[in-house]
Amino acid sequence: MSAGVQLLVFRLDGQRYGLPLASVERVVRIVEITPLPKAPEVVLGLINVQGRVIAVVDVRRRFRLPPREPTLSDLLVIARTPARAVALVADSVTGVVECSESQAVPAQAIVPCMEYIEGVAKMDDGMVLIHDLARFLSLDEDRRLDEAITHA
Amino acid sequence: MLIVEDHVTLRATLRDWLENTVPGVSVLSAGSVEEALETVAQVGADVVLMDIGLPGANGIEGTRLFRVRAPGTVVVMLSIIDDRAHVADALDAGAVAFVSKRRMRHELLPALQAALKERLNRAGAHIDGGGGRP
Repeated sequence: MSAGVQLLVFRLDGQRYGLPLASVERVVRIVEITPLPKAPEVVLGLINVQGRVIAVVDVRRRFRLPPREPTLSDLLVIARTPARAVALVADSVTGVVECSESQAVPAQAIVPCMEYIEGVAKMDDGMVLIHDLARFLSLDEDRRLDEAITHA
Repeated sequence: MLIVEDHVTLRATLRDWLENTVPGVSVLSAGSVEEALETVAQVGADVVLMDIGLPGANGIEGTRLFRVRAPGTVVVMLSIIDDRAHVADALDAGAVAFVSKRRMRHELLPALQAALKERLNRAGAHIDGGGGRP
């Protein structure tokens, strides 16, 4: 991962995860999610944000957290993957932190199979797992999502 | 082997890695020292892989508790809080090794192998002592 980045930190079940701030468009209150038939399982549905249709993805599944339905207190973090904008459902957003080179550890130094994690940031009060948006959707999932949106 | 780690994603990933890498090992996990002590009381564990930053008792306090309540179990500390003071505290508390999460991919397995040897040595010493040898 690139060192010396700003991270948007969000929480899921009390655990902290981060996204490079440069990939984040905005954070909005949760809105109604329209189911999308034939979409990959990791896609919860679609939202419409000021005329843009954006896929909502289930980060809980990717991060091995128990499934739960979105609630009214959840937030949506809208971020850009290389292929598209996606919305991530977060319990809360903690804020933005600076992650210096000495604080950042690339995922491959930690465990060989850290899927969907770009690295770990060491903070004064623990660690933040940095989400790898570039690998969030596989090529196949990306293609199936495109097809599902086209037919929606 | 018992992993004590409060971050669910890391705990699950670590468990998968160890189960797939160390043949025949049974890997359990807990999210806190209290849960870990309960697990060890119920099913035992040869090696405990302990994080420092945990809810409730931290990993260093937890290592002291294990020394008293499960003296046959060896503790390997695994943390991203890896400054000298914390390493010294962990070893002083009774951990047989300290592995930084920054380098765990390469350093964890050798440390676990050494810890297992230490566990066997302790078991041997216990048998020797119990057998009334001089």
